[in-house]
Amino acid sequence: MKRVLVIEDNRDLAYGLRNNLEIEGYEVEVAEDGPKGLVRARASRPDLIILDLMLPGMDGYRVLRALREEGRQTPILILTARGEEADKVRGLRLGADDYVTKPFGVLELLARVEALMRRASVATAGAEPAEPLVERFGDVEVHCASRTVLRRGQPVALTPKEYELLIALIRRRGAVATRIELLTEVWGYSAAVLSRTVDTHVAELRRKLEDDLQAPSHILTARKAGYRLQP
Amino acid sequence: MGRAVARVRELLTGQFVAEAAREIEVVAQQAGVPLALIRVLSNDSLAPLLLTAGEPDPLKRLLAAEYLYVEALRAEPHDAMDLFARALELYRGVGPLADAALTAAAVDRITDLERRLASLDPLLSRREPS
Repeated sequence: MKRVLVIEDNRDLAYGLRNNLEIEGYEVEVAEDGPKGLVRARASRPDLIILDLMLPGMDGYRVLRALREEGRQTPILILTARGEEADKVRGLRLGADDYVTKPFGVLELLARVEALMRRASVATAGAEPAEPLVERFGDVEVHCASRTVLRRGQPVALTPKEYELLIALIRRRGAVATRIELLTEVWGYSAAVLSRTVDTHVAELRRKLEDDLQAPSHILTARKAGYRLQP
Repeated sequence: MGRAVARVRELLTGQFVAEAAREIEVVAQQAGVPLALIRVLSNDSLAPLLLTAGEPDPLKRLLAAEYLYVEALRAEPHDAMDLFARALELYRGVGPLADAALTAAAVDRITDLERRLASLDPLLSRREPS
């Protein structure tokens, strides 16, 4: 069954979209703000994302940019305000595959979803996987498909959040990730999550993956900025 | 609900647009009309939401139309034109109402909407809203 992620803060609209998509035979997941949408997009790897541009927490453009910068090729359909040509252009340039303008017809939206799914199926047939299957740094191997981590060939037990944190660092290919970015991406930032959460989890990752905790070789601190991964 | 819509009319006559909007929110909640969807869905897609027991409900349609009208009064000119056009389309499809005064008021609103649209865009008054 094809999976659709709806990132939409209008609860009535999200509910209506979910119902209509489910009737069409899709499995649907809803996220009500940008950070949660980003987390769900990474974790559940949907076949298509319906993304509202006006979202609390993190607007749709930022969600779109983050997903495309990570190399994710999931088809994304954006919901834009009527008459705002600039919104559509910006969205398409950031990597959206199609858009629907509010007020929209539900049948038109469903037809566009179907068309995007069809196009994506043709494009991915026989294509290389979008992400490397195995990431390596030092003596650590991260097997993305099975979400397993090996160190010197031995499995390392990571919690789901530690794994997501590690992946968030790997994706940046050595670039610095700020604490706020990591909080947003891994925890779906909310005031309830303390910023020390990132530090605590980084410390735990180091304990499990580094040789020398006092002078780590791979999971490095960028002073007053955040963290980065040194391959 | 007809009385409530009439009350909204009174408020609009007195230029109390914000109060009219609040009144509509209360009535819509009681009547089960999802206002949050009215601006984001096309009129065609709204139609199933404006039924009662599977039949078209003229009062729900009237409420949705009046909501768009009030939103248009508060919108920028470009948005206002779209909202007035959608309100007019809904009003034209309201159908017969049991209350004669409400029917007369709906006819008045249609005339009002046609006049407003003509003043915003002379071309628009010559064609049916999409």
